[in-house]
Amino acid sequence: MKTILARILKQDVEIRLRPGYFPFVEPGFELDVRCGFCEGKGCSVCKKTGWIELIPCGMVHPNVLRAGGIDPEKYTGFAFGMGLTRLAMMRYGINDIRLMMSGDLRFNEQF
Amino acid sequence: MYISLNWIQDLLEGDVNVFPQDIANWLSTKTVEVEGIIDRSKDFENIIVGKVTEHTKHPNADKLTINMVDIGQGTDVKIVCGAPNVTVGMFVAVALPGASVTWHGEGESVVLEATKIRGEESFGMICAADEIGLKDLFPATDGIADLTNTIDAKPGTSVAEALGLTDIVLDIDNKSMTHRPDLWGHYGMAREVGAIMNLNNQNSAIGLKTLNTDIQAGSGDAPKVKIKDKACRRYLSFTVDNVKIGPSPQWIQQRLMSIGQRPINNIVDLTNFVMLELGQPMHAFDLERLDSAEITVRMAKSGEKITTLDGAEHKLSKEDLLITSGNNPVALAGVMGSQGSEISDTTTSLLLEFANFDPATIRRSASRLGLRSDASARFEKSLDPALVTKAAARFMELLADIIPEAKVSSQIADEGVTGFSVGPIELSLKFITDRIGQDIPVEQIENLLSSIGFGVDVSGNNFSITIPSWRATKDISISEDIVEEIARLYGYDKIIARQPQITLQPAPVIQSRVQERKIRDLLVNVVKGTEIMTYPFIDPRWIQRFDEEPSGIKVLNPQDETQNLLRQTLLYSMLKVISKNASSKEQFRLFEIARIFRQRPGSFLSRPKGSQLPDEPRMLAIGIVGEVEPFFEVKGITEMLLSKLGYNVTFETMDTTADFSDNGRLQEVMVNDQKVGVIAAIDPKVLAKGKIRRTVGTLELNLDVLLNMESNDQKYKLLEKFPSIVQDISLELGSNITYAELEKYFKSCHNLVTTVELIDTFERGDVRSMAFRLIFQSEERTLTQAEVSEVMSDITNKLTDLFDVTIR
Repeated sequence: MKTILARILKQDVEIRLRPGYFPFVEPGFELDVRCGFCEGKGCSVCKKTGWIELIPCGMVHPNVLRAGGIDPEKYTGFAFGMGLTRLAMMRYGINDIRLMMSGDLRFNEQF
Repeated sequence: MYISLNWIQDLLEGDVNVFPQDIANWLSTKTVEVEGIIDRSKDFENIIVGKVTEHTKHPNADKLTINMVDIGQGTDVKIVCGAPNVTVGMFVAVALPGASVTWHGEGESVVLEATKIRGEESFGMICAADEIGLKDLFPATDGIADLTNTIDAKPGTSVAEALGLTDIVLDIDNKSMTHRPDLWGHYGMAREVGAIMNLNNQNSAIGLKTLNTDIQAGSGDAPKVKIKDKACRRYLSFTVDNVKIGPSPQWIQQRLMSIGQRPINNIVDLTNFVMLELGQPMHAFDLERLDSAEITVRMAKSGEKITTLDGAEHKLSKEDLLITSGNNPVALAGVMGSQGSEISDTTTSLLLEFANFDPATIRRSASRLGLRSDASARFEKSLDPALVTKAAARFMELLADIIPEAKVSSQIADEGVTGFSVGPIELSLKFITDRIGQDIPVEQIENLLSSIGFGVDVSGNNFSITIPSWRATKDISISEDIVEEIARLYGYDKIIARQPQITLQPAPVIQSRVQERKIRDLLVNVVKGTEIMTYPFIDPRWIQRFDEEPSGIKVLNPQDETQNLLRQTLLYSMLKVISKNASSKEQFRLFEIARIFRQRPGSFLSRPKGSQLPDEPRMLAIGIVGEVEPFFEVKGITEMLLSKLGYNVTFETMDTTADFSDNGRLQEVMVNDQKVGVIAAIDPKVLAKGKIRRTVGTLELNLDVLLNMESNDQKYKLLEKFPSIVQDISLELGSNITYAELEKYFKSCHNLVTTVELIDTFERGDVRSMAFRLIFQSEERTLTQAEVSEVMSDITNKLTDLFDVTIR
């Protein structure tokens, strides 16, 4: 993930994993990225924590593998919920998520 | 949820001697998400204890007094006060300049300044309880708060410290605790904090205080408890006598207040305290207001009514669980008690409920009736039935301190299951280290798991883990759950990030993806279009604006009425975007690639029932706005797009005239004789309904159908060896003649005609004319003008025979 994110965001990223709960993964994590706006010092974008929640992820829960016809004894899997809107916001510095679906051409035509 | 660090310390043996920021970080990285740290003493900044040393009347005001107050700073300060109850020797709360207070407890808070009142200087303010947010701790009096008997502190001490209100509170994100019912109370949280502190520091020996589970039963008959539905998993009840309602002791009020719970009276406060400490909600009924010491737990009858404590009346369904006594519903189980049996100032005996319910039932009822409570939030997480006895014992333990005369008057009724057991779970070291991706020694694993109450039995490289009851209700059941416990406590930051090494093959090229990318590329770079993204839902009221009947697959639980239909075309969404931008832009071009949802079966089956999912084809929609000839523009674009993608495109007039087209400017887009889409110019009258005052041309095309067709690979065509001859012809058209039929005629009129182009059009009133250019070309020889002229007159003769046109 570090590599993928670095390529997408076009800069080295510092990440951290912390516990998160999602029914379809076990273990489940929240993957945070060091806030690029304040370089981790704390600002309104990262709610003063210095980290931005980016990717809910984890290892695929064995029940999910079984439902998909895969033997969890033989295979394990990774699951990453990469919110494309979030990533686009980070990469281009877009500050309001609603702009993407708004149909306001002053936004669309910038890209 | 708020967690008081003072309360956490209460539940742990040993000093929790760490910065709140550290505890917050540890919890966030190992357990749950801490969203904020609140310093309660900040509410009392610049408010200190003062002792009145002199008290005289104000010379210039009848109702005011001048007071000298010792605030522990050497010289006493002079403060003017309007309250009638100030006396010499009284300990008071002094708000210094810079403190925030609310005048008489009302309105916004103000920052104090040293000032003059009626000519006398006043340094700060002597406060009434409600002026500094202490209304709940001090009885309402007419005047300032008298701290003399409440505190034992020297003048100058901060009021927060003197009243024991210095506390740091962590704000925990509830969403991060969905899977941890054991953490919805300070005790479970203290267990995690203690465990983490011990794991971080070898010298730390923080212990979790053990809970008593004995209840001294009384001699009377146990309450008659009948559980009629398994949605109630356990019900423990007994009665208590000799209760006297009054205020709770200070320390209980402080704990409650610091996490935002308002103290009410000793019994109500105790029920809240037990819930907030152990995570087990409980209920206290006034025994005298019940028909008898009898409880039946059953599903409600359809339409049965209950008025809850907040005064709201609810109509219940067969899916709501009720606590009843005699014939009356006395509580909506797990959510809220009803009016009529609650604790009041005159209550002297109690019937207590310590119960456990099926999480889905509680969640459904709370959600359906819009009645979420602290209790329902906990029950819906699936609580440990074993917690019930701990809560009952704790309640009685605290009650003994507050009302020593109160005693359990009955035996204990206890119906239902006493607990769930899961496991033991067997797993190997290899299973663990494979998944974590790092070697962890067996002893360390043992240590990590036992620190949070798991039993660990090691034999070689295999573990047998016994699960404590408070983790057995839903979160821990399989080996992977154990791996998560080990990994999170080990520390995710300790797991080294390494690139996996695997053998890869390049992914196969998906041709339809390649084509789609080409479409976007052409539309943006050549056609100068802007891509838009709109929601798959459509607002039925927008469709009605165009006097059309909204139809489509209905959403069962939409966000709101603008999102309750799945769209069957991209065009309405596109028109919405056009209407938003048309007043500020004269000309623009839009496109969208997205799915629509047809009300007929598609090619995929749903799992597990195997029913047919609806047809959801991917469509391409283009909107050309503000052109003089939108129809021709959109046709030209469609032609260019499809031929660049390698498809042979033709256009055909449609059999039906759609109402929305401008003067019949509507055609089917055909590739290899199959319909793939429709182009149109929208009637301005239709556009006006959507307040669009520009011309609009549209294309809607089924990409799934198109991209499934074989496209022609571009192949080099030999250059013509021989020159061509160009002939232009100008025609005036009769009223029913279309470009399409003329184009079709010219393209097939003679084999020497290789290209047909429309080079000009003219329209004025009834008069329509078109100019065509025909290019004559032979592959075998140079043509002569004479030859071409002869062929041309053949063509024009046939033309006038077949069509109502005049050559100009």
